[in-house]
Amino acid sequence: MRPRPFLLHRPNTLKEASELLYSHEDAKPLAGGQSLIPMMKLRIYSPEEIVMIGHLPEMQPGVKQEGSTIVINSMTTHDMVHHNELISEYLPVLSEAAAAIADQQIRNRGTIGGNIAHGDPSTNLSAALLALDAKVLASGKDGQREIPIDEFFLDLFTTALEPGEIITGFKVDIPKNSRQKFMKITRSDTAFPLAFVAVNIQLSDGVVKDARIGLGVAAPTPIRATEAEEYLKNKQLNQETILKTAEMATKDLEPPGDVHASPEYRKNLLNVLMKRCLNSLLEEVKQ
Amino acid sequence: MPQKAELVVEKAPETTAAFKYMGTPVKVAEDLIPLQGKGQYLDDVEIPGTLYMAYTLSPYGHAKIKKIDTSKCLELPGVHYVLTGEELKANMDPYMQIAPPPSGNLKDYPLAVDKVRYYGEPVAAVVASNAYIAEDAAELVDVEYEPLPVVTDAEDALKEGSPVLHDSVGNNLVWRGVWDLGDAEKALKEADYVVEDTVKTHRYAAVPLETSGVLATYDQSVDTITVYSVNQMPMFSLPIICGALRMPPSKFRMILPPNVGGAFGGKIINFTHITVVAYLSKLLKAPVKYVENRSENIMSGTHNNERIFHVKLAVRKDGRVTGAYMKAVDNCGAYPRYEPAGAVIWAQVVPGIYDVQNVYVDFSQATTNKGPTGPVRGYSRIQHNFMWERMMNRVAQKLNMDPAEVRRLNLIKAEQMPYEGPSRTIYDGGDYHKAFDTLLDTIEYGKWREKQKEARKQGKLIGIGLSAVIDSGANNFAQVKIINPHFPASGSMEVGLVMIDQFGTLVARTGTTDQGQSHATTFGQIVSEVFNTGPENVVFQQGFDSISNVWAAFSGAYASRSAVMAGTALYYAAIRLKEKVLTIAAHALGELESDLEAKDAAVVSMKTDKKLPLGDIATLAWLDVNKLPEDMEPGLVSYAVYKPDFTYNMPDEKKRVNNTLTYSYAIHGTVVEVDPETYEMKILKHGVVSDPGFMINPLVVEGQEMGATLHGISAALMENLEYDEDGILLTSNFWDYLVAGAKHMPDIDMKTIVTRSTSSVLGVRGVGEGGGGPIGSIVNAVEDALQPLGIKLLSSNLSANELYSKANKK
Ligand SMILES: Cc1cc2nc3c(=O)[nH]c(=O)nc-3n(C[C@H](O)[C@H](O)[C@H](O)COP(=O)(O)OP(=O)(O)OC[C@H]3O[C@@H](n4cnc5c(N)ncnc54)[C@H](O)[C@@H]3O)c2cc1C
Repeated sequence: MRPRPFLLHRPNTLKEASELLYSHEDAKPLAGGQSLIPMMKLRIYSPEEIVMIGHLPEMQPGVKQEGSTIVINSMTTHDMVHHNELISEYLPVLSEAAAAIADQQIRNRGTIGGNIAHGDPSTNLSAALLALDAKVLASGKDGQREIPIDEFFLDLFTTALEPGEIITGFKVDIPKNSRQKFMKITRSDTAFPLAFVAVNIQLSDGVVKDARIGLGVAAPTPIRATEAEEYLKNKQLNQETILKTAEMATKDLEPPGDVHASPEYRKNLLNVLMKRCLNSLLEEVKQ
Repeated sequence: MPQKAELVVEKAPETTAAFKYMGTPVKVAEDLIPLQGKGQYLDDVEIPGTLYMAYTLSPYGHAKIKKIDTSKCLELPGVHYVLTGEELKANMDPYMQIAPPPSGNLKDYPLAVDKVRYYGEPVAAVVASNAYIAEDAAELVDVEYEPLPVVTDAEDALKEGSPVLHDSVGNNLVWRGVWDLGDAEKALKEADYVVEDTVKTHRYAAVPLETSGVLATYDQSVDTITVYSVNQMPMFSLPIICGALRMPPSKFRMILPPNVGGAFGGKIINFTHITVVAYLSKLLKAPVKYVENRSENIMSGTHNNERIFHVKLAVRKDGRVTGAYMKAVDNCGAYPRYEPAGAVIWAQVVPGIYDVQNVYVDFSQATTNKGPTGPVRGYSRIQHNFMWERMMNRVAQKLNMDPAEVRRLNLIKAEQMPYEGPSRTIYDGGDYHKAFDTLLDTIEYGKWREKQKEARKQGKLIGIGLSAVIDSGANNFAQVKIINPHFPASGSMEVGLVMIDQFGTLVARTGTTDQGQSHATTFGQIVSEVFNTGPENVVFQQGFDSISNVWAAFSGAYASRSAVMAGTALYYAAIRLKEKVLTIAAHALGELESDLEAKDAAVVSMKTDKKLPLGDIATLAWLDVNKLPEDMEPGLVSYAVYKPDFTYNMPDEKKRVNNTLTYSYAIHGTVVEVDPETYEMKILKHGVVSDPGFMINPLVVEGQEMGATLHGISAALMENLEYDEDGILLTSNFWDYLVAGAKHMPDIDMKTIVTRSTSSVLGVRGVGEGGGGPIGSIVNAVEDALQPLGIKLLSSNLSANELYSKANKK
């Protein structure tokens, strides 16, 4: 279980890193290595060149509040995301999603930037950031840009990042009157997740004003349940609307199947999680 | 020291109260070593100039090898050699087969010859200057395959027209044997009910934390190969290897490092790796190392026996089972490497824990395109125990009785002990009813039955399952003669060596190697007891070395035998040494031996209070030897080989033999809740009551039982080697092959009731394997939970995915 040979770069600046990645087609940035290194060791993915980015000043872990926006730097680990006070306070769905990633060792190393850049529908944080309408901060050889998370995931392992672009962080506007929940089902912490759901709803007097729902392992990319979100708007949250939302969120899904979950079973789990997330928010509101 | 031919040693005292050091929960000092990363494992052994080996593996379940092109591989800088099956075939004999012809004609080499027969089978071995290059180079071996039809199911493999794995055999049958014990047919005829069903056990792996590995060096000066390995029975594997390589065993030095990271049976058939690495080290005149990666270990590092039973039980109206009639088909995988031993090992527990004297078993084993099977904790008995536990529930269902009641009715009674089973196994004491009732109390069985009624009203799925299993230990090799009367082994033996060094420290060694079972502490306690001296005065030397260690051909830690076998050998060796020590002391002190006793690292006189420290006695024995009694051999070393009497030592024409020396037993009870929406299964309560016999160290016994319980939970709810119809293993790494860890362990309520073993010298029973107790109780509990949905379970492995599909099929 050893990787094929590769060339390791340690650039001095972010710009240098971008240029390296741009000019070397088969080069990949290395963040926490918790997705990249296992794939390299299993020899299912073997980039010829690796560009270290974790040491660059712009990438350093950190979470800060800028007005009504939370900014999270790319190298912030899952463990830090889980325990950060700002995130727990304003973006609990993200904190819960980070807490539910794999085991402690992996949460100590894996980063939010890597989790999103991976473009994998089974990454917890992608569902949470979809629910939070985050913006991805990308830096390329020609400068910075912000990519709305809705436009970020293109296909399995394929994102909107252009050649040479590196994720430096994320911006999330603090949602108002928001209730959030993340739920996941897995057979073992370190196994491929069976399904997960991230919900962020704005409530006013028990009526849903706005809703964003992220679904994990539901399609080739992380996706939102847009139809269900639309349905939920201006509805009272109750048993009937919850059932209907879950139904709408999952009825057209064609999730992937594997040894641990058939597509039908996964669909069922997404439906159940959807209901459970909303029910638990309903409970919260009642209290 | 002259050896006495016959050992006359009184049996150990009857009660634990008589012991000072044995029977106490002495803290296990050696546990800290691996936890602190200080262990010395195989991969920590480093020899300068070592070359590294990697395998090229088969991507097919069954295919003809048309051509192997090694040219690209050999071009890679750093590559020293590429070995293929063709070369091996020209230079070695196929491994000896346990089964007689025709299946004994099977040709088994450590690298595929002409054909690959399972996914992950080694096809070529590449040697390079480091492990990275070796793995790169292994990818460059260009093998041209022609895929062949695949058979993965054992029953299919035995059908006419099935693809045949081994042409030299002609079909896929490894061995078939019929046990016709008592009169099962008559029992069925006279029964009030015949309860019939099919039971399946699934395939999972041993998965030790440390995978298998080998480091071999060749010493040209003495034409000897030194092998460092983790083989569980090195001196038993050695003739298999030497026979194949046509070398005398004395030209092989077998070494095991001080630490082995678990084995669970999975480090026996690794002799294939040893053969290849040894061959290469001699050929290349260089040290060669190979350590299995995790996927290799999961693909072919020993799978357990997958088995299907078609069973009919003869049952009386009152719930008594009077006979059992069954056909069992066992899936051996591609090569019988310890098999078909598993085709008789189950017979250690023919009636399970129940008093059933009429049993008919028609047992066949077949080769299939899956990884090779071999011993995995609970080897071959887990399957049989599971069958009984599933069938007992079927009886309860048929008669509309409580499954606890059915079991109570059929358990062997304390007054029947020692109990001679229909195949002449001698269950060595115990009180099964007491253990069973204790378990029911422990898990609050009655209360949960009430709760279950309430829960069902609310749509909750709660189930309670029971399982009562025999965990036989310390095997009698003669049982293999049932398969092949010419199999050159019978009985069992183990060696103990106790000596006193020049400064008076007691030193102990045995032929078994610790894999995490706390041998140093347990064995130290035995020597302490005999010398009536604290464990600080005893050193147990771990590791194995065939040229300096004591060993017997059966030496090793497997089959739950270390405490029973090595413990007894050490006990005898220590007693012998003590006799000599007392003789020397009597001479030195001018007293009668009968007035002396060993105590606190000295010999003291009960009459005069005079005291001679062991250090002084050691000086006399090792250095100041002219002061020894006349005619006494100098030195303080004693050695004992323990060979137990199994009473029925050899199988008769009805295949009856006492297969093992001890039969511990355990009762498991599980309460589960199944989520009616996700079908996830949660253990709400799990209780175990076992009878390990006398416990030399209760902490160590508890550790073994806990481990076996977790292993069973993992087998039932997680671990599954799943193959597709092309024979591709879908779960070949930890991403898909799920293994329970501490986090998956529910709180376990564990109790022991102790009755001494009537057959082992120290009164202990082997408890290393556990008999797969939790597998039966979990599956029974889940089926019980699902009763409102009318779902019937078949297999020993459960997944929510499967339950969901069952629930939604109807
Ligand atoms: C056993 C196991 C179980 C796991 N289970 C889960 C789980 O249940 N849920 C879950 O969400 N995750 C899981 N993970 C993955 C884990 O969360 C990873 O940490 C995460 O997906 C990737 O983050 P990383 O920092 O380790 O990225 P890396 O592995 O270093 O990189 C991942 C990919 O992103 C690219 N990349 C990394 N950083 C950047 C960047 N800043 N800009 C552009 N591209 C970048 C890399 O080139 C690579 O292609 C698991 C991992 C393991 C090993």
